Amino acid sequence: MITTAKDSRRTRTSRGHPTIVCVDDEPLVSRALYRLLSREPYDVLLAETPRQALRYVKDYDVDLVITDQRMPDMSGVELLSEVRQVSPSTTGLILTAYPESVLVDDPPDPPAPPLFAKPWDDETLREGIREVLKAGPPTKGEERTPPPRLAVRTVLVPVDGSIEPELALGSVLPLLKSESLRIILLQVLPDLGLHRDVYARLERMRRNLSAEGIDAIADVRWGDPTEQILLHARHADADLIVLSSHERKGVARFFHRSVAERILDESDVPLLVGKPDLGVRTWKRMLVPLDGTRDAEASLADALRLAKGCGATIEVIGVTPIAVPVGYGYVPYSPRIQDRMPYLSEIVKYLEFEDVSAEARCVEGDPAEEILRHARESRADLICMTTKVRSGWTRFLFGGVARELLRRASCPIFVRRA
Amino acid sequence: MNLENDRPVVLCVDDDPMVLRSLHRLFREEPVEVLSTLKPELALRWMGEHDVDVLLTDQRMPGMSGTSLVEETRRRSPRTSCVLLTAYPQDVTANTNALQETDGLVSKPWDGPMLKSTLREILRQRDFEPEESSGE
Repeated sequence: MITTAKDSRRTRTSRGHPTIVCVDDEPLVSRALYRLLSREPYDVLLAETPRQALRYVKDYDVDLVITDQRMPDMSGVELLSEVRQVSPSTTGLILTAYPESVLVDDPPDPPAPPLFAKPWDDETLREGIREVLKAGPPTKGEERTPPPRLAVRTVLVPVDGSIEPELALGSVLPLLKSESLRIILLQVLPDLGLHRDVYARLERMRRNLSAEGIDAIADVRWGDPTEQILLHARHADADLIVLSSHERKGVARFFHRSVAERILDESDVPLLVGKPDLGVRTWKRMLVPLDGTRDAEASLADALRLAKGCGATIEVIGVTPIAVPVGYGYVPYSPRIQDRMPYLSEIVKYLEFEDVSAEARCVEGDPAEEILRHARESRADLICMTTKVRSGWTRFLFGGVARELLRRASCPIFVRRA
Repeated sequence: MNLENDRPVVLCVDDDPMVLRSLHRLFREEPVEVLSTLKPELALRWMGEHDVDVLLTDQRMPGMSGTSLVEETRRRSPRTSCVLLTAYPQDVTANTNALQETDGLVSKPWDGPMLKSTLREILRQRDFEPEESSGE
């Protein structure tokens, strides 16, 4: 049975809403999707087979194909790569009950489509669809748009009376020095009241920075530290937040372990987590972990900008998980390092085209462990990466990984939300 | 605003964030600038680059004891006065050498007014010492 949600007019509907094709061999799933999407400003077409979906893509101006992964005659990954052939302007999204196993059984060509878990959470999926539509179709290689400049102008530095944030700031300043900087020192106090020594300290810090030619202002707020940091970052339109990592046990007075993670969860402002015990250093090597997704590639722009400022080498590292947990067991995964290398080499070419020396490396194993080990062995001065809050294998790969690295890396980390 | 500048700097070192927190609270109306760190190594690094007038350190910390931090401070930053905070005063009093190095010994838990007056006393004594003492 073919369920056509709407008798589509030729190409685009007059209302100009994005057109979405949903493919699932299970009609109940299609109906649920239709119920969800028809309340949104989309034109929705339901297809029962991948073939039918492809026909829609050929006949209509389709913006997005939402497909199941496991279907009788064609997998979702295969369907989307055919869709890409037929209509490069159409983007895709895979709904699957087994997000992890898609990577294992049927690894998509990079850039990989976003994966969403089935059954889905309505709000997450709605939001995900909006984002996918906004981002548009994936681009490859030479079609890549030039990286947006990482114009770091306003840097928010939360301080708390401990010397760690000040030492961390001191160690990362050379990295930012090439920019026209404005630093906001933010002290969040737990209660109103006289804190004379706080003002004395902020004033000293401000003067020290001014002595180095850096425009700095100090600000005091009251309340929950993380909330105030987020609020202030928004109000001041901050381009970067610099935090100090206190290592595993490390907690300064008002900071708890989760400050960095909460900031990443709740704001789009990139985070530079410095190491107070490193001292002022030169920045020679930057490590950029990639997983084949555009989300991860977003960190290349940051790395490029930072590397250009200090003449560092960028090393891109692709980590292939050996085994990923699926359901109750583990699916053994035959490493496909040779499959990742062409992708990474392409990135290296792109970086070299931008006049930054670059290297590529593939490793296999647990992503966080491998990145940490490699950062240690190659004496990386900075790990530059993105993290994703929501779904997809980026969450599996990079959501947890970024958090793990934030806690454990021995070098500073530049991380932004994808 | 100038009154706020150039206050004596007190650096507190303890591996327990709650202790640092209460020290900050205790001194917040004193005419000093209070800094803190959880790590003795960072304190040494800091004192290598910045002036610290008074070091207030815990005795038992992982990595470095308060007395060895004091000894190291003596070498690297002779102008810094050192006060040991300890829940086990007998540890320190047994070590007469270390005791000579410190300018004060305060038992934990401390008595707030007493710790404040110890600090004031140390700062007052420092005021009488010549700033750049070339000879003792």
